[in-house]
Amino acid sequence: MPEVVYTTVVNAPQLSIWDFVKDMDNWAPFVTGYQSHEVIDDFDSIWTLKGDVGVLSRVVQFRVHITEWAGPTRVAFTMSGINEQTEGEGLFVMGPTAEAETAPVPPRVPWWRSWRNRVILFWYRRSNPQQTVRVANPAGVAGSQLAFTLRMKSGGVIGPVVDAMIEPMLAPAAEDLANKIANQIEHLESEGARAGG
Amino acid sequence: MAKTYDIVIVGSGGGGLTAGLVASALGKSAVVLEKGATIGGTFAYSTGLAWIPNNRHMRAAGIDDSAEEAAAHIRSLSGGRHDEALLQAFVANSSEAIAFLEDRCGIPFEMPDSFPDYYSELEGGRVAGRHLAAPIFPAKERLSDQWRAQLTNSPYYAMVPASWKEIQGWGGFGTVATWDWGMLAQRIRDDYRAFGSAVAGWMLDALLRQNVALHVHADVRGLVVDSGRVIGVRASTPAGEEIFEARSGVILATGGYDGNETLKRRWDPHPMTVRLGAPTVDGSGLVMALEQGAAMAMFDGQLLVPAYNIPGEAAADQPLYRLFIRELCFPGSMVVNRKGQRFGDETFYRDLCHEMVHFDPLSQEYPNLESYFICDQEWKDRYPLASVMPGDVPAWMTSADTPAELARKIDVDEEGLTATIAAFNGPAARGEDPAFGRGSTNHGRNGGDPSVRPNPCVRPLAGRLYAVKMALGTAGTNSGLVINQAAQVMHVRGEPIPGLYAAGNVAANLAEGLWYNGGISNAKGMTFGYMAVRHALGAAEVA
Repeated sequence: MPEVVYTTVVNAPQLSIWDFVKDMDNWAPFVTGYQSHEVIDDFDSIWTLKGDVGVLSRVVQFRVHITEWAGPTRVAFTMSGINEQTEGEGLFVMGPTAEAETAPVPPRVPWWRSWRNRVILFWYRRSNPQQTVRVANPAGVAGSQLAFTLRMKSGGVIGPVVDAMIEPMLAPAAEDLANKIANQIEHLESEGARAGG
Repeated sequence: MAKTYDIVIVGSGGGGLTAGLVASALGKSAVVLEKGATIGGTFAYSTGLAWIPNNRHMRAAGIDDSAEEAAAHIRSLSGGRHDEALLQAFVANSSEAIAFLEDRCGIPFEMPDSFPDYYSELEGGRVAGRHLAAPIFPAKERLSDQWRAQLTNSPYYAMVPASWKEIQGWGGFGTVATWDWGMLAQRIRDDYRAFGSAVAGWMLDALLRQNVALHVHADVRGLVVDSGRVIGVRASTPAGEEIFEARSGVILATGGYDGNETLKRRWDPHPMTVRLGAPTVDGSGLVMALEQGAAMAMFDGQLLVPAYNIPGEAAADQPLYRLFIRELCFPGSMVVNRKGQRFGDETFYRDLCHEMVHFDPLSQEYPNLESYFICDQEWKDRYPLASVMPGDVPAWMTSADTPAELARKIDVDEEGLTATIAAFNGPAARGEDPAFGRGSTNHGRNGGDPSVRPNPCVRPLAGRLYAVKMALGTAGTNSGLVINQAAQVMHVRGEPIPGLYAAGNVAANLAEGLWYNGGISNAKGMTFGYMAVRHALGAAEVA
């Protein structure tokens, strides 16, 4: 099963990340190949994406089901292809950066979840040598980490071939999504700071 | 400051790559200018098959052939539209060109088994041997990351990194469900190329070894002429406007104009086609030659191929239309028009396309242009349709339990479709198709299902029915520049334009007239690319 993990540093409090990520309308347009999405209820939605499969592209519809709403640290979901035999799952993990560990931990994060996130991130890094990190705040402001995991698997007789063709596309897609989310959160934070004087 | 080469080649399809290889192998300098971002053109999109009569591989396999028999075959089927000198030049030089590429440039060709000529039953035809292809090309192993990213991959065949010989050994396209897709997935990870991209890959590898200059994003805008002789080209490149001077000749290998809607509408009798070739094939070389007074010959429009689009599938930012050829040969299927009536032998796509573009002056319409492929449950359970594997039923594929219900869903005449299937099924139970002769040719039977007897292309339609809307595709154009037997472009007043040559679909179908066979476009590109360079360099200079 092709899998990619991408972690970036967001120069914003973890709660700000959570506030942004928990509403999928905020970041849906940042998904590579995004065409549209329709929210059915708090847990289910239908997404239409235009995805690259090697030298060609296809419009794929997915039913996305949220399997875990664990604010402000985790959102997990599954993806099930409607018009293609493709299944997948995704995971957002938010946590403090190493620099931020000296800063006060947001009060709503249980200690065990924070530690679990660090362990998860450690293993993400160990298991994925392609993992890259967005350039941290040059001013050295303490921030938070946002890790995005995406796994996809294609079914049917030719599933192995489809997986082989989409593998190279996954890492850029995950990186692009995480970085766009980070940039937008930082933009909103700076706008808020300016508005607050 | 101009860059000077012995040979300047415009376009990087089969003709252009061959020309570069031949010039280099003969010890001369050459540059290949490609306007797109990748090397290969429509050649790399294609099956990679080349129709080469009397080639050494068929001789080695004990298949008898001769240039004379090949010429007789084409002559009898050209509709009187061929140019005898060009026909003779093609049949005399095509096998020699391939041998040169093999021996002097290391391009590996091989002969797939069981590839009949389209008209193998007729004078000079052969049931096998005249089609050559290449083994898969290990791009990651042979090319740098930069160059393999610049090697065109075919949107039609990228998912099947296997050679024609392998596929035939595995039982053909009708047996895809039993192929080792895990092995093919590993080949994709290792960036193996197949079909046209494989031949282009082997050629690109050889060109780089032979130090031929290659430029992508080099958009040639015009020819440089001095005292009536073409001495170079003007090109827009990432470095700006550049002049590439040619000491011995400029070779146009830019393909046809199938990607240019304006030219199609001006010149072709049936322009309502969807493009199947590379998007860069826009007639630019043809226009440049016309600007210098080149003669043009008009033929029957385009290389028409039935096509279909899987909704949502695209390539090069346009809907991707796939070729609809082999699927039409499998038994348990037919093609109908809006009246629910069949109109041709579905196992011979040229026949089908001819009927699709038929214009009825009584009704002032194309009665068969809007057409549907119809297949039954057994067809769906046994055969693939592109990436739709046997048994899979995607949401976009219309289906119904009865002909009438299916007809309603696709807006086809209910009584017409019901009657057509009923009329077909009677004789089909005996393997017969008295109306249009499905499976009556070697070519058709070769594409059918050999496990179905007595006719591998015919059996009654039964059970649930499925429909796919068809389109008319163009894989190239037939009209083009007039060239002579040395591939020189002719002036409209009758003499060759000094220094200017053409190879491939930029030239008109003068070697073959109205005859056509799969692999002839690739064969002509390579053969005339070979001949053009040899003539431009002069017989005395050719070792």
